[in-house]
Amino acid sequence: MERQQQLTTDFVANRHSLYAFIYGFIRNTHDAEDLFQEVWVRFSNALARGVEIQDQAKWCRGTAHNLILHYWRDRQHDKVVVDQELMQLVETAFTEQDGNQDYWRTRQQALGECIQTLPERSQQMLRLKYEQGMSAQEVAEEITQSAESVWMALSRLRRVLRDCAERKLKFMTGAS
Amino acid sequence: MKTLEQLLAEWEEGTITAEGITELKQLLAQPAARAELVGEWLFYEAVYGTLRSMPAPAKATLKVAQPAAAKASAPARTIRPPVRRRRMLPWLVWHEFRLPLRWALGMGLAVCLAWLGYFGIYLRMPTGQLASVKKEVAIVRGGKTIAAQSGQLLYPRDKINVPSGGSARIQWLNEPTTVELSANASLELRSPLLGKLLALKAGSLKASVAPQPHWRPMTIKTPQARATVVGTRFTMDVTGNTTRMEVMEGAVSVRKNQARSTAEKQAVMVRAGELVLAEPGAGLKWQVLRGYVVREILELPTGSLPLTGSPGKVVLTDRLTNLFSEGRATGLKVSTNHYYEERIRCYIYPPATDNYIFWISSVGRSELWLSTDEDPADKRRIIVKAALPRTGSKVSGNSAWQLSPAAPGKPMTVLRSGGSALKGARIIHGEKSKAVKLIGGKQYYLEINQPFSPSEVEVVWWTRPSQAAGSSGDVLNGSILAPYSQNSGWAFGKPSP
Repeated sequence: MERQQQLTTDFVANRHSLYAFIYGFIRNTHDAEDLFQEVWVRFSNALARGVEIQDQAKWCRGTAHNLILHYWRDRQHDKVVVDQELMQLVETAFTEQDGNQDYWRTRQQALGECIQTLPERSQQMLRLKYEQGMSAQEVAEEITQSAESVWMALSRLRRVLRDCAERKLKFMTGAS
Repeated sequence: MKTLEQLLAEWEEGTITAEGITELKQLLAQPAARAELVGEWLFYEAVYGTLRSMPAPAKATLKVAQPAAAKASAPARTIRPPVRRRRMLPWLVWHEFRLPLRWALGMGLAVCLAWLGYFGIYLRMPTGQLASVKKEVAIVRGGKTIAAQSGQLLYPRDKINVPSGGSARIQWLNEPTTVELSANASLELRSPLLGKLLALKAGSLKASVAPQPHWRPMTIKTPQARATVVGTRFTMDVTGNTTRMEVMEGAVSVRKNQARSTAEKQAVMVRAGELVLAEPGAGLKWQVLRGYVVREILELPTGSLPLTGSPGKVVLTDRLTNLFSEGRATGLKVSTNHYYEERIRCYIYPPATDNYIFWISSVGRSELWLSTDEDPADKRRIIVKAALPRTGSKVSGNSAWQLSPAAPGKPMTVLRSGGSALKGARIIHGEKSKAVKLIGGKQYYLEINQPFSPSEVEVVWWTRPSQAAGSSGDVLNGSILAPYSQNSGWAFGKPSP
């Protein structure tokens, strides 16, 4: 029972990493949410059945891997079909970072704080891009600007946020 | 070579190419690049997670900052609130296809619409007219029954019902195709989209079909069979559960409606001089049309003489009920620049196995060919009859001939009726062949050739030495003759007659 509670706690703690893994391949917030929920359902069912899970993060990524493959198989007409070799490399990348979960959690927290300090217009642009799932072209149409300027603005925002997060991380680690 | 950041941005945007994916995989072979990828993807998650937890903008519209110069003159631009676009299912399905496919589908759709539009107009145009009607022929059009009259136009989907004792002749517009309906016939003119489609429900019809385009033939459906015609003369009769088709000229492709085996499903070609029967529970039954032979008049090329093997052009065909042929040929326009040849090709069915002696009688030279079987390739010449010597007497084109009653034990001769004007050629003795053994009921190919002239006569008869002495022979008549036809259309072998 304690083991189950520990695994559930780990799942919640690592949810950012798992969602990032899923979203990276799906690139659609709504579908990524659905797949994330499905992984959780399968994970909790496995726990209820008493399935022995050694590595929670790896198990969940493996399940997500299969669901992502099904997702793309059902959408064969889409322009990008996921590459198995690429998936393997990304999975390796996330596995390598499993030991740095504390760092990434802190970074996510710092990023969140940085986003909240952004001007409203920048937040709006990020919202359209990453929450509404629009392409740069669609964002440009929405705010009546050129696609190039939107592309540049998003690139600049990413850089600003990354620098902001790094500064905060240095401050946090320095403070601790 | 693009940077990892550029490639990941393209990946996120969905614009990455196959080459880009290859480059990405090469970069991800390095641990530092893999760590950067995790950081980038977690960045998306952070943005999404943070924005989702933040309250949405309070106002429905957001003011967007304007350049300082424009601020004074233009009102502030507004951004519409981010609303997820609702797209209808057809739009979504349509955009599932790639652009070239969308173009192709669009073009195909446009062509189909144009085609349907054209035939929408075409279906409202008359296809033929009633050239003649006898008794109260009725036309059923759009559920209403109209009394038919001569000259009345016919439209697609019209149904023509002929009463007992009546008849009707349909003439197609702009072509010499005609269909004659007999008493009690019921015929429907179906959609002409892919050619003339007629449905004969009952009764019989006689058709003379002008050459049709191969992609739009005339098709006649009956409850038992379907006949496809590209230009010919034939009769078709539906009686009870049987459809009977006789072809006089050209060829008709016939197929069974409810075929059970592969052999039955195949279309068969019924040629001139053949008939076919379609009945439920059986394959198509083929028979040779007995009772007549076809005489062909061939026009030879300028300078070619008859009976020299020159290929001629058939300029007239008619039927003979026996092999007593007088020269008259109605409708033939004779040119003085050409010689003409008369040819009769037929099958003969001996009534019994016996030795037969063939006789031929004619004014001019004539030849009789007989095959050892039904194949013309095996024919051999069994009689050459020399021309009668010229006497200088003029023979009228309207001469009439008759067989003379032979004296007991003497062969027949041919006389010109009342023929005092025909000096030297009044009595024509026949030329005979050697005795030929023929098997009763077997089919043999027979051919007669002679120069054609309006004053010509030609008679073929046979004698059987085994018969009682005193018999002068029998003229070959329709009961043992059938017209020749080329039966290459029978894909699964020609059935026995």
